Amino acid sequence: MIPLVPALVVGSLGFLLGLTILFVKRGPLMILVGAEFALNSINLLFVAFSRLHKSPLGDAVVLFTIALAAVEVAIALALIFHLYRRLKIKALEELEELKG
Amino acid sequence: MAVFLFLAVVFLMSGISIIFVKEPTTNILLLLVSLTAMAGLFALYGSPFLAVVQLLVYAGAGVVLLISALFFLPRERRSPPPLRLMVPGLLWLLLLAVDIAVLLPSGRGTPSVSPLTTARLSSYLLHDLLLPFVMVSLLLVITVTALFLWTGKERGE
Repeated sequence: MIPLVPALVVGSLGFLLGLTILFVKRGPLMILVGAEFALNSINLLFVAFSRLHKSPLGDAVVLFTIALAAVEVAIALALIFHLYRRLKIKALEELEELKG
Repeated sequence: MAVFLFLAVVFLMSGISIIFVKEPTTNILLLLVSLTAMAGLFALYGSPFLAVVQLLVYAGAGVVLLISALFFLPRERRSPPPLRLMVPGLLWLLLLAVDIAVLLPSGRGTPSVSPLTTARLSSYLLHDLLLPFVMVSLLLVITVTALFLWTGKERGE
C-alpha cells in the first residue's frame, strides 16, 4: 500500500501552491483557478486518511467537496460576469466598493 | 510507487506552471491536467468511484464552465501560441491513459488496498450521513434557483 506520508506531502504542497496562486494572480478567473487547486489538494488528504482509518467518511467528505466546488464555480462565474459586464472591472484590485 | 511519483510530480508542476504562465487559456488547461493527475492519485489510494467523479464533474463540467467564461475575454487574451496549448493538451492525454490503466481492475497499482465500493459509499451516505447529504442537496437547489433569479433580475425580467 502507498504510505500516508507522500499523500500528506503532496496534499500540503498542493494547498500551498493553491494559496500562492490565490495571492499572486490578479484576474478573478485565475483566483478561482487557485481556489480550485487548493480545494483539490485537500481532497487527497481526506482520501489518504480515509484509507488509514479504513472508514468511508473521508470519501464522503470529498464527494460533498466536489459538489460544493461545482456550486462555488457557478456562483463565482456569475459574480465575475457581473464584474466584467456591469462594473467593467478586470482585476479585483479595481474593486473599490467593498473596501472598508 | 512509480505511478504515484509521476502523478504527484505532474500535479505539483502544473500548479507551479499556473503561477508563472500568464495566458488564462493555458492556465485553465493546466488546471485540467492537475485535476486529471489527482483523479489518478484517488484511484491509487483505492477510491476508483471518486476518481471517476473527479474526471466527470470536476475535470469535465467545472473546466468546461471555466473555458466558457473565457469567451468573455478579449480575443487576443484567449488565443495563446499553439505550442502553449499543445503541451498541456498532450500531457492531459497521457494522464488520461495513465488514469484508465490504474482504474482497470487488472492494472490497479496497489492490490493490497481494498477499494471503496460504490455500494458501501452510497449506503454510508444514505444512512450515516443522511442529514449532511440532504443539506448539501438543498444548498445545490437553493444556489441554482438564486442564480436563475439573479441573472433574470440582471436582464430586467
